[in-house]
Amino acid sequence: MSIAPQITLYRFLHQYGEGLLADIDAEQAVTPVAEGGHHPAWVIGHLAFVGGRGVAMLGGESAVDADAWSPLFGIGSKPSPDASHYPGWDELLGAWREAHAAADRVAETVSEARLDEPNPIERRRDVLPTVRDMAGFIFASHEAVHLGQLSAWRRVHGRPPLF
Amino acid sequence: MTVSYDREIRTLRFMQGYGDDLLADIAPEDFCRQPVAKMNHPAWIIGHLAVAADHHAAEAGGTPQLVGWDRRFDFGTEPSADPADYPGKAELIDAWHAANDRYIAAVSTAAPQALAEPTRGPLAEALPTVGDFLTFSLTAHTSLHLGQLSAWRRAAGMPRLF
Repeated sequence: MSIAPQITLYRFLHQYGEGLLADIDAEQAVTPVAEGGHHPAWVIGHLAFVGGRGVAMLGGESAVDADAWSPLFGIGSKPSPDASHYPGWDELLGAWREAHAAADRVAETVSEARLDEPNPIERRRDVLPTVRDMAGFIFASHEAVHLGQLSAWRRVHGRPPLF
Repeated sequence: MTVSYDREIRTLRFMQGYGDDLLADIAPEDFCRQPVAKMNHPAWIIGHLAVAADHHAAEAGGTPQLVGWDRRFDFGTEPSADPADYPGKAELIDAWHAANDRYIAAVSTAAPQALAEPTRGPLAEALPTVGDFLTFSLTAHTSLHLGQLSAWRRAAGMPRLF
């Protein structure tokens, strides 16, 4: 039982995300959905950061400097409307795309034994007991929740639905 | 022999709990509120998730229960700001939970050969097998719309959950 179905979904969500992002520029990327709400720069940085953690759980290498990015994009971080607070928009997009590419690569080589190891995030072990469960959640549901926020952001800012 | 979808089912249950938390403090009279025109509101999102689970349960061998809900909630429908167009909050949430239960029951007995069949429709290229589509519908589809609900809360001036 591999992690292939979740990687297929992660690939699908990447395509969907590219569609959501296609007409968002660097300035708009730090405009929140509403006061204090998420904006595209935070969403994409957060997805790159967490996606990198999923890749690392499988034995791959995250392209993200976790220590530097954690205060900006870790759980509990608050979006800032100041673009200078963040890496550039192109860098954020590149990191998110690299998380997807790295997941594709590591999924080819990860062992069943590694996937069956306990979830390193202890507080989630009750629902997601193994590395396979946690990484699968990161690649499917977690990615989807935040892309859903981005989809709503588009409506708030006058963009048409994608389909 | 059946294929285990325990992990995906656990995820759906977990996300349903997250959805319940997102919905708990939304007043019934705000269920059709659109802070911005054309934004998906809670009534549409929960009705849509219920209809999707009802369809998927039927495709996996169950019997559809939400007859007549398609015209308000199916893929491609637009949310209306008129509460008279929708069931109330409690009915919507109950329908969503019950449809998830039926879907989980149907998936739990799905045959492996059915899951290897090719997917039809617009997602066939990205999600080539019925099993791939099933993984999507049990996990990412619900999550996408709950993300919209989370953003709706912000746009409606409600606090973040965590």
